[in-house]
Amino acid sequence: MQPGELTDYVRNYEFAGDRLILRPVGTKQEVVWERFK
Amino acid sequence: MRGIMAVVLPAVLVVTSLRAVPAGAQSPPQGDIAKRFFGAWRYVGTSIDGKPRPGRGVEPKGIIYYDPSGAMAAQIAPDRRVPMAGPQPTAERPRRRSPTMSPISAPIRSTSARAPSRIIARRACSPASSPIMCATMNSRAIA
Repeated sequence: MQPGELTDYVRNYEFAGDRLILRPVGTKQEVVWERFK
Repeated sequence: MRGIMAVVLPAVLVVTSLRAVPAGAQSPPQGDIAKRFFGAWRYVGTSIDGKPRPGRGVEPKGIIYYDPSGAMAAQIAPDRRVPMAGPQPTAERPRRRSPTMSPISAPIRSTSARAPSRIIARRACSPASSPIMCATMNSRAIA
C-alpha cells in the first residue's frame, strides 16, 4: 500500500444475523460479510 | 403518527448512540454499534442489483476486520487461476505483482449524523496499488 489522495468511502451498513452488509451509497451494489466463528 | 414514530424513534436512538467525533480525533470507537463491527468477517459475495458481481470468479475469498482501537483492514482475492509461468520470469511471462490481492487497512472515521446507518472510511492509497479495493480508513465511523 502506498500513500495517495484521501478519499472518503461511505457505506450504508446493515446487520442481518451473523452477516454484515455494506452498500456503497448511491449504488445498487451490496457486499456481504459473515462473521468468523 | 404511530408509523412515523416507529421510524423516527429508532433513528434518534441510533444517532445518540453514535456520538460522531471529528475526523482528526483518535479516541477509539466505544458505542454499541461500533462494538457490533469488532472482529473478523469472511467475504461472502458482492451483488449488483441483486445479481452476482462479475469478474471475481466462482469462489472469491476475502476478509474484513475491525478492531476496538478503531482500525480496520480488508482484503478480497478474486478466484482466478493464473497458470505458473515457470521458476523464472520471461519476457512473455514477466513476474506478476500480486495481481489478485487487494488490501485495505484503515481507521474508521465517522458515521453520518444525517444517515446513522452509514460508515465512512478514508482511502489513502494509490489507485494503481489495488484494482478492487485499496484504502486506509479511519475507523471512527462508529464512535
